[in-house]
Amino acid sequence: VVHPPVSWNSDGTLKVDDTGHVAYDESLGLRTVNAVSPVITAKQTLGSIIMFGLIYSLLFVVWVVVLNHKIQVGPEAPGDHRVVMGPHTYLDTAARRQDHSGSLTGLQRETESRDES
Amino acid sequence: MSHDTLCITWFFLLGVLLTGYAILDGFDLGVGILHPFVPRSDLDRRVLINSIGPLWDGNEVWLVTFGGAMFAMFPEAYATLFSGFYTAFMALLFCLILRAVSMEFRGKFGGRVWHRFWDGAFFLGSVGVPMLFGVAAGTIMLGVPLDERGNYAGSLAEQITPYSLLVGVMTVALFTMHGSIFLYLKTEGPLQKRVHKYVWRTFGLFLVLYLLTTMFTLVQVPAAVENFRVVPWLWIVPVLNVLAIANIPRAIYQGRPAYAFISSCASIAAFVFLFSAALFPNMVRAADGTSQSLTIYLASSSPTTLKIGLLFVLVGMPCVLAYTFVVYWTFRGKVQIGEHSY
Repeated sequence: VVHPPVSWNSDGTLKVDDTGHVAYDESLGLRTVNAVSPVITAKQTLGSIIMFGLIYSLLFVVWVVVLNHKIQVGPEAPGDHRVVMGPHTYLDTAARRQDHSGSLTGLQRETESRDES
Repeated sequence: MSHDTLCITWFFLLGVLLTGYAILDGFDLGVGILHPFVPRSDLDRRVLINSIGPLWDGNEVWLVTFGGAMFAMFPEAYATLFSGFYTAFMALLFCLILRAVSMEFRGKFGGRVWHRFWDGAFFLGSVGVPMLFGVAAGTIMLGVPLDERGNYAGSLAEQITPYSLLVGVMTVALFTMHGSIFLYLKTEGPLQKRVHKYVWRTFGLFLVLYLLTTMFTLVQVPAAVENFRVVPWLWIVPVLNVLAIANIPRAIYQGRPAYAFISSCASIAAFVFLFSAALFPNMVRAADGTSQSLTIYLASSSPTTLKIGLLFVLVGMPCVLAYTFVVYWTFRGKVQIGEHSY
């Protein structure tokens, strides 16, 4: 169990020195040098750093390429939207609901005739 | 609750998390292994990928919670295993990342080389994960060399033995079969017919490896059956496992894929149970006997930590189960390819 490197009085308060500051005792803490896993070698750590370095470099390159592709292609033109979405616009969907079938200002007939053409 | 009861409860909960992970990620790893072989067209391939598309990342969360729970509740065992198996663990992360990246990037461009590359990466990642898990499980079953502080005292080469490799290959076969049954459930038409052939092939392969591993375990790993001698009713689990495995060809023959899938889920749960029962009460068994072994009582956190953890389980588990249910309910039935599919 790791505690901060401070010591307590018997009544549970922190020990302070003459100037009123909390007294630190280095020997009570866990130093970074003692906190590393003793069985992992420097080679293994380097290996994992290289592995993650390669993966994230690759991801960065792919990210730039994909982003560039998206920018080059650009968004769909507003006019195209209805054609691309076909029968999936909100009104069409509403018209296709079974309980409203054919009842919403004849939209469904329009959609069908457009689908055929 | 006493400290011992809390430790046993947490050991059981870790088993539940591992079972959840193995069952859920098991089938999507299996689909990853099968995906270069089963499809004839690019559309088939997309059906395969989309069968696991909305599910695989949720499935892998079970592994994260397993790691997190082990870190919080059994920190000594976590420290020993994750530093002792560091190289294997990095390889595992590499495979898991490779899989995720492959699924996301495959569909970004249309080129043939691009597709082939990510298909290959997806396959390699999918084979690597169960192989590494199996090898690690085999090594842990055999026992690992530990020093007096409970640190791993062996070399990397000692983690790869004929037995651990056999367990690794069996795990790959188990998940491939599990994945093929899942695909049989999720596909239709000519693709399902082709999947059907693979169900039989992968079942045959798994059966051979299962028998080999069982014999090898009984002969070579006497410690694995120690608990079964003390508590004979534990034998009911391997018997149920055999019944579950035997039920798979029966259900497939009857054309009931859901029944077969439940059977293979039960079989995976039985494997995790057998693994845990063979280890108990150890988290990490020392190779030279029991003197240095990290038991669940030695490796655990303080009783307060274990209790607070149980509160989190009480709140978190219903959320996880509800989420899992909603996702699987939403994507129930056969795979449909749409505008936003992979």
